[in-house]
Amino acid sequence: MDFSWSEDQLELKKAVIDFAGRELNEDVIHRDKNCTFSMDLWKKCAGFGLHGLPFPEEYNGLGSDLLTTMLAMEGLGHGCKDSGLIFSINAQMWSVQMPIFNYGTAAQKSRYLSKLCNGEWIGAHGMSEPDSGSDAFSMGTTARLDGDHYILNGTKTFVTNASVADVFIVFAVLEQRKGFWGVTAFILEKGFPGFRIGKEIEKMGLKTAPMAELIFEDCRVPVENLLGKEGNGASIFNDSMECERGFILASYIGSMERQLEACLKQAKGRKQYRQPIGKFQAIANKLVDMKVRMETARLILYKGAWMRQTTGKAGVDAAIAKLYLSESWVKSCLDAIQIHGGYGFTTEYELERDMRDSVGSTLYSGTSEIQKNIIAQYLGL
Amino acid sequence: MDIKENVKKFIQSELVTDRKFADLQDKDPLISTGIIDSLGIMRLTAFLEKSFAVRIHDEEIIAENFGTVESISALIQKKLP
Repeated sequence: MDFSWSEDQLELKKAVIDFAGRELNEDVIHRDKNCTFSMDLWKKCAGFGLHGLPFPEEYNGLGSDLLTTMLAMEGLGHGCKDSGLIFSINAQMWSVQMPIFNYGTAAQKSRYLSKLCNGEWIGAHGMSEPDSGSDAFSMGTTARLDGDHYILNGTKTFVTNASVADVFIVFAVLEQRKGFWGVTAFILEKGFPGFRIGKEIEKMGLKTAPMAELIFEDCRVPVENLLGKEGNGASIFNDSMECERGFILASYIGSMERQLEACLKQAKGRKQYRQPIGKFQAIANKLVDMKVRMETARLILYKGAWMRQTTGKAGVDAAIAKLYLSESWVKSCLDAIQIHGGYGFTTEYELERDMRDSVGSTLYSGTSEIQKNIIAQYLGL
Repeated sequence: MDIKENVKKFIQSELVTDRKFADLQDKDPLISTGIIDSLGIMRLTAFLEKSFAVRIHDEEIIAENFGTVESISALIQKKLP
């Protein structure tokens, strides 16, 4: 494994940190309070090239390799304090753009990927249903072929970006087949007959990332909007989930680094009993834990990206990354609040928002418990 | 040991939990019986890739290729030099 960075890669990371710190943080407390998604910031990120980082230039991408993408996303988390915006970008990148890039036809890539990379369109991914979450393939949404259209019926829930999205990847089971082997992926556009957005879902955190239900009532999807082959949806889903597991949390390495810097400043600057609070072991130990977790998480992230980049699969390393990064991010947020004492509990210091935002990371893209199940499987258990 | 026997041995030792499938035949259905489910397919493809030094692409993970020991063996056979 080789994780050494070139000057160009490090300059890209610095440029992302500078851009994000300069352009993306204004009014974030207010936007969080009002659950506001910012189209303006979305387009700024696309204009910088963030949405298209790992995709070829012919689709308005930057053509970066996976490790470079990880480094840039790390920079985004360091500079940008709006975890909801970061989540929306990552959700689109790994669960919408990547499957279209990997499994889409030339026409699908040309129509959808280009517009997703340049920020003209927003993407969303519908898999979870009211009665199927971790057991994703027990879904109730069905599809049947009717001439040159598929007819979809069912409901998806917890769909990030749903209410602002233009294009959706949706999974349904072909009526004539059952379960895993009938799962099929489709690309839907806003406005397809029989397709509507359901109720907006309020959340504990990530409030600037919209989330809603998708409802299909005899929704007509043209056959050319089949993604991959009939019955191939489970594999497409598994592959996009590997990307999500492995890479969706890259930005939070940067966020943890930013938190650590803020906590070190607090520990060195704030005095109690006539000495900086960092001189007390109880505080110093928390800072050490934050540092060790961040550095370990970073190496785990890079290893997964390196595996995927060199072998085509991240395998167990993706599940390890998802588990360790999410749990580390939550712990880092709690430590940061504790180090800041009462100030950490206030909205103004923005640590309570980080904490609320972090909890979702142990749930989306597979809960921590499911990641452990996957890792256990790789151990032959 | 040939491909079919290798595949059968793995399925019987790692994926079958019900004793009634102890005597697995080449044409026995693996999907409708639940022998291969969404979790089992990940282990099976990892085993096949490692044992036979082949790459199984995501688009090949469909019922037609994994319905029986015979179809799995045919998929592997096509990939071998």
